[in-house]
Amino acid sequence: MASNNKEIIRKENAIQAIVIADTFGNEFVPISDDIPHVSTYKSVKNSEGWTLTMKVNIIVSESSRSFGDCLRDLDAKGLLRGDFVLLEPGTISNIQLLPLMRKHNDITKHDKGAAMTLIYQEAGIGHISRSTQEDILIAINSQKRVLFHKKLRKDEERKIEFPLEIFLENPSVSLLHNIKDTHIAICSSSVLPLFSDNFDFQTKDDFIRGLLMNEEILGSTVYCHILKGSQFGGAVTNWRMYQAISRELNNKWIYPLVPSIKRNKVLKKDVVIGDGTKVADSALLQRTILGDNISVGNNVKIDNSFVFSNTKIEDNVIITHSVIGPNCVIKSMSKVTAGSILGKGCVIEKDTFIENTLLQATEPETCEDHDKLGSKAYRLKLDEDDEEDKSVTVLTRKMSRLHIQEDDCESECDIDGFSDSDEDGLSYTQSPVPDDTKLFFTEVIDSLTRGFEDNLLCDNLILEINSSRYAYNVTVKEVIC
Amino acid sequence: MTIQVEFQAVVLAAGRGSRMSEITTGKPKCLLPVGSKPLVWYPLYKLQKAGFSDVILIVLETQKTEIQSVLEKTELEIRIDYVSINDNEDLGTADSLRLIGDKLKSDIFVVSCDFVSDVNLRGVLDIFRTHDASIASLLLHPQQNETIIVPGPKSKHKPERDLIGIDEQTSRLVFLASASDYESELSLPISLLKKHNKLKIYSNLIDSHVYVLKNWVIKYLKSEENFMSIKGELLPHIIRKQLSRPPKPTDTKESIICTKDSGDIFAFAKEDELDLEIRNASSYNDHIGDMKPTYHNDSIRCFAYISPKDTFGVRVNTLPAYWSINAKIIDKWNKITNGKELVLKHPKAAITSNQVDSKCIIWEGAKLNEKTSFKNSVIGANTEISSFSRVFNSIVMNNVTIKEKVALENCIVCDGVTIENGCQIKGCVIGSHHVIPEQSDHTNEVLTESDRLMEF
Repeated sequence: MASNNKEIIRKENAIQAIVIADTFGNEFVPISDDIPHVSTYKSVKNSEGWTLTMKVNIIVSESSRSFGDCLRDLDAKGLLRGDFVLLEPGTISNIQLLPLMRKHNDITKHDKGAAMTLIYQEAGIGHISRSTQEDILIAINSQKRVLFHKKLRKDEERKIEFPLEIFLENPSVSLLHNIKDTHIAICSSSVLPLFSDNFDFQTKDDFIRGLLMNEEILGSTVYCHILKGSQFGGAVTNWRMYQAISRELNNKWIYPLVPSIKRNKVLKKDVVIGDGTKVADSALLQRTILGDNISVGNNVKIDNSFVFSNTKIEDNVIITHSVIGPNCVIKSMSKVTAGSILGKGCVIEKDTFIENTLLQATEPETCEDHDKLGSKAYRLKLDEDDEEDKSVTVLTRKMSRLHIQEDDCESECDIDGFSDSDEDGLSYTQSPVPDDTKLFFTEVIDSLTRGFEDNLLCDNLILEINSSRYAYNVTVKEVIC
Repeated sequence: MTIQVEFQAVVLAAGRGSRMSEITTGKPKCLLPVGSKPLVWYPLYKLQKAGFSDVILIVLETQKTEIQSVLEKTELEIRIDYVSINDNEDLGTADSLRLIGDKLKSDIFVVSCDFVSDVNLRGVLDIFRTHDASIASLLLHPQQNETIIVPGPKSKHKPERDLIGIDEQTSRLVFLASASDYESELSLPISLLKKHNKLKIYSNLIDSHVYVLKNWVIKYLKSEENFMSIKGELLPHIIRKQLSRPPKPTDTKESIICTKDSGDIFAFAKEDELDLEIRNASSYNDHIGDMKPTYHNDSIRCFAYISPKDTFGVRVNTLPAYWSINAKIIDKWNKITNGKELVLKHPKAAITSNQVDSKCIIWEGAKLNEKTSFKNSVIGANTEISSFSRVFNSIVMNNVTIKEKVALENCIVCDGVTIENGCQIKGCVIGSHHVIPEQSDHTNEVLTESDRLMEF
C-alpha cells in the first residue's frame, strides 16, 4: 500500500510535524478498498489545530509497508530537523501542541536521551473513546519518565509482571491505567535515526518497547504527558474508534472542531446530516451521521450508524450499528444490523437481512454461491494472516467492530485478584498450545481437504489422521476437543 | 459504668531489639536512653499529648519490673496498664495483640515503642475516622541521607525496603510487601490495576508501625492463630482481602472446605446496615473515573496516611537509627515533645566538671568529677566519670564507671560497663557489664563478652 506523509513546517518557529496517513492494516476493509483513507475519516482531517498558514509537503513513500518504514524513508530523505510532532493515522484532536513542544524541550534539557514524549489523555475505565484494543498500562516515575508500557488485551493473563528494579530505582512509581493514547507524540530528532538503526521497529509500540528494553544500549528514554480537562485527542484506528470519536465530535468534546448540525423536528439525539441529504419526515434517526446527498425513505430507522455520501435508503429499512459506504442502494424492507459494513456501491435487494457482515459490490476472487447476496453485494471474508494468529485476529476483529452494547467490562473477573497461595496463581497462567498440537491440526486439515478433493475412502482418512496423531503425540481426547 | 473510649492505645514494648543486639543484650530495648528519656517514653508522651488517658503497654515478663520502675520516675500522666508476655515463647506483634484481645473493646491504636516523631497523630486518626476504615497506617518519609559514622566495625547497613502501593486518588492502601520477597519481578493482578487505576508504588516510605485497627481486626486475629506479626502477616493479608468479594452463600462441598480461609474475614468485617444505607443514599463517592460505587462497596478498607514532608519521624530499631536519633534529639526535642522543657542536666546529678558543653545530657545521679571534659554526649544515671577523663560524642548508659585518664570518642557504652584507667577508645560499642582493662586501646570495635551475644 502506498502511503502519504505530510510534513508541516512553520517557518518562524520551524515546528514540524509528520502525519502518517495510512493505517497499514485492514481494519477498514471493504470501505478502504475504494476510498483513500484520508476521506474515510470524514470530518476528521482538518483537525490538527494549526491555525496559521502551514506548508504541507505530501511525500509518497511507495515502498513503505509499515509505520516504521515510513519514518525510515523520511530519515533517508533528511527533511526534518529538530523536534517534531508525530501524528499516527487518523488522529483527531484539539490539543494545543505548542505548550507540549515546550515541555518536551524542557525535558530534553534535563535528559539528553529523551527521545519521545507520548501524549496521553485521562480517561476512566469504560470511557467510550478508550479503545479496547489499546488498553494501556504505563508505569512512570515522578519525572514522568515511562518505565513500563504495556497494552492489555482482554482474556489475557490475570497478572502483570513488572521488573522489580523500576520500583527500587525510583522512590515512587505511578502505575496508570486511567489513560488513553491520543496517538500524538512529540519527538526529538533522534527518533528517525533510531527507527533507521532498528529496522525491526514497525510501529510506535515497537519503538517504545525497544527503547525500554534496551535502555542502556540505545541510551534513549521515553517520557509522557497526561492531558486533563478539555483537551481531547484520539485516533480512528478501527470502526469502534470511528464510532466513538464521531460521537465525541458530535457531543462537542473536541471543540472547536464541531460538526454543523441541522435541526429537524424528527431527528432525535446526536444526528449529523450532510448537504443535500433528504430525510423523510417519518424516518427515525438516532446517533447517526449521514453524509451528503443521501435520501432516506419513509419509516426508515437508523440507529448508531454511519451512512456515507450519495447513498439511497428506501422505505421501511432498518439500519443499526452499521456503516454504509458511498453510492449504496438499500432497497425497501431490508435490515442491516450488528456491525455490518457495506463497501462502495453495494446494492441490497428488497427484503434482505444482513447481520454482522462485510459486503462489497464487486465479486471477490474466491466466491461461493451463498456469499452472493445480490448482483452488487458479495459477502467478504477476510483472509486470516496466519494460522497461529487466528484466534487473536478474530478477537481483535470482533473488538474493532462497532460498539453494539455496553458490554460489562468488569464481569466477575474481579474476584480473588490476589491469591493467598502462589499455587492458585499457576492455574491462571494457561500454557500456550504446544507446537505439536498446532502441527497436528494443520496436518489433519490437509488430510481432510485432500480427502475431500480426491474422494478418498473414509477409513483411509481415519487411518491417516490416527497416524499423524501418533506422530505428534496427541491423545484422542484432544482430537475430539 | 465506664464510657467506651473511641480508641484504645497499645504500645508494643516486648521487642528484643534483635536488629541491634550489641546494645540490647542485658537491657530492654525500650529503655535505651534517647536524650534525657528512655526510648519508650517518646511514644507514651506522644499518646498523652494526643489526649489518651490510658495505654496498654506490652512488655516481656522478665523486664516488667525494670520498665515499670524506670517509667514511674518519668512523671508521665498517662495511666499505663502493664501487660507482660512470656519471654520463652517467641511471640510476635500480632501474637501480643491476640493475647490482650479481651481487653480491647474499642478500635485500637497501635504504636511501637521505638517510634520517635513529631508527626501529629491526628492525621492518621482522621483518615481512619473519615472513611470508617478497617486499618489506617502511618507512613514516614525517609530522613535525608546523612552520612553518619556509626560506632563499631564498618559495615554497610542495608535498610529493609517495603513496596507500598497507594491509590493516588483515595489514599487507599492496596499493596504492601517487602522488596526482599521478590527476586526480579513484581507481579500485580490486573484487577487491582483496573480497580485502582492510578496506583502509586513507593519504595522509600517507612512504615512507622503506627496502626489504627478496627475492633473486628482483633476478633479476626483471635480466630486466626497463624498470624505472628502485624506488619509481616496480618496487614498484608487484610490489604489483599480488599480485592476479594465476600463469598456467595452456597451449600456445595467446596464452600465448606474453603470457608475457613477464604470467606471468614467478611463475616468479621460486616458493616452496619444503617451505615450502608446512609452511604448508598448519599451522593458522596470517594473516587472518580469509573462508575463504581463508593469504596467499590468494599467492607474491608485500608488507608495510608503519609506524613507531611517537613515532619520528622524515625523508628529506632537499628544501631544507625539509634545513633542518629541521639545526635539529633536536642535539635528535634522541641518539635517532638511539642514544647516540653528539656532538662539537660538532671538536678540530682553531681557535676563538678566545668567543661560540659551545651549539647550534653546528664541523667539523674550521674557523677562528673572535676577536671573532666564532655562534649555532645549523653551520660546515663548513676554513672561516674573520674578526673582527667574526657567523653566526646558518646552515649554512656547507666551505672557505668569510667576511671581516670580515659578518652572516649564516638562510643556507645552500655549499662554497668567499667573502663579502667588510661583507656583510649574510639568508635566502639561496649556491651553491658563489660570490663575494659587498664591502658586498652580500641578503635571501631564491638567490645562485649562474646558468649553473651551468642545467646541470640
